[in-house]
Amino acid sequence: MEQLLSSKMAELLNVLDQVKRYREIAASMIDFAIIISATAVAVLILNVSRNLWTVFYGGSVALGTIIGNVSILLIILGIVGGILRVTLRVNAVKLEEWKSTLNEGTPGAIKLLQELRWETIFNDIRYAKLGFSLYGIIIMILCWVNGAVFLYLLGVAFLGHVIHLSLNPIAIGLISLVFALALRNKDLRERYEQAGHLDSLLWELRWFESEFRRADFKT
Amino acid sequence: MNSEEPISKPDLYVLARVIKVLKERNKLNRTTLATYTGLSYDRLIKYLAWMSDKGLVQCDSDDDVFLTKLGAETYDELVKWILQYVGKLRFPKLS
Repeated sequence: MEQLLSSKMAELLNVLDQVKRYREIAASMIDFAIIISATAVAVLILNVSRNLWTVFYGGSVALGTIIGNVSILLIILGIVGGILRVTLRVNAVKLEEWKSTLNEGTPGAIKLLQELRWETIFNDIRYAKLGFSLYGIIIMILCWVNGAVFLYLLGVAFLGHVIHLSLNPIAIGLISLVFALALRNKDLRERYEQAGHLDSLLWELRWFESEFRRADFKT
Repeated sequence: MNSEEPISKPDLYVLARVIKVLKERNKLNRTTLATYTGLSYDRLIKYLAWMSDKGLVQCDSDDDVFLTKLGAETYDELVKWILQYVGKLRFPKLS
């Protein structure tokens, strides 16, 4: 019976650990937004400088190509940097800190239950749901933007020059959206399901907390 | 807290620890029990007084502490009681 209790407790604490990781995604969205904004500003400054250079000193194809390539490189670096930052923060979340306490058996389980701060856990679940959904949407938008840039470049470099065909911006936007949706379809569905799971977890734990409080757990 | 002051609201974790050690070791003297449970001697004495008062443990003249039948049953009830609540939880699969 004690082993069953320990395994059930481990299950509960593992789920709460996972919530902590999801919550960190929400918290790291600020970092992500800063990195992406900084990238956008850098690209903007680069292109404004190029335009100013062209106005005062005249433009050249080589300069345009270099600035174009650097801009793309900056965008890619910004996105990769943002994702890396989120991943590093999420991976830095300490997990299974409860393991040694739970190894004590029932006393450990009691201690862990006594130490659970329910309001913080409920807030964490709400944040986790937000962060998890938001991150999925942002990744989806980035895929869409990347796809649109790729199609635009393909249109300029290949279709325009080789077969003299031009794609209009609406077509580029729609095609890249379809591609992005096709690519991220599975991830979006999983995130939607996880958000539902987090909702049900919130209800389960609310019930659990109220039952425990009613039973006057702390004697 | 005054060292002479009796325990009014015992910590369930400490109670469970004392009972678990006594369940595993059958009988122990107070000093060894304090070592096994990681409690200070003074604190253990207070808990033992409280537990003895409730009939969960018995102390003999040789300074040995025993777990009573009621103590063992209480511990099992406690495990069952927690399991009753934790066992009812249905955890979603979060990946």
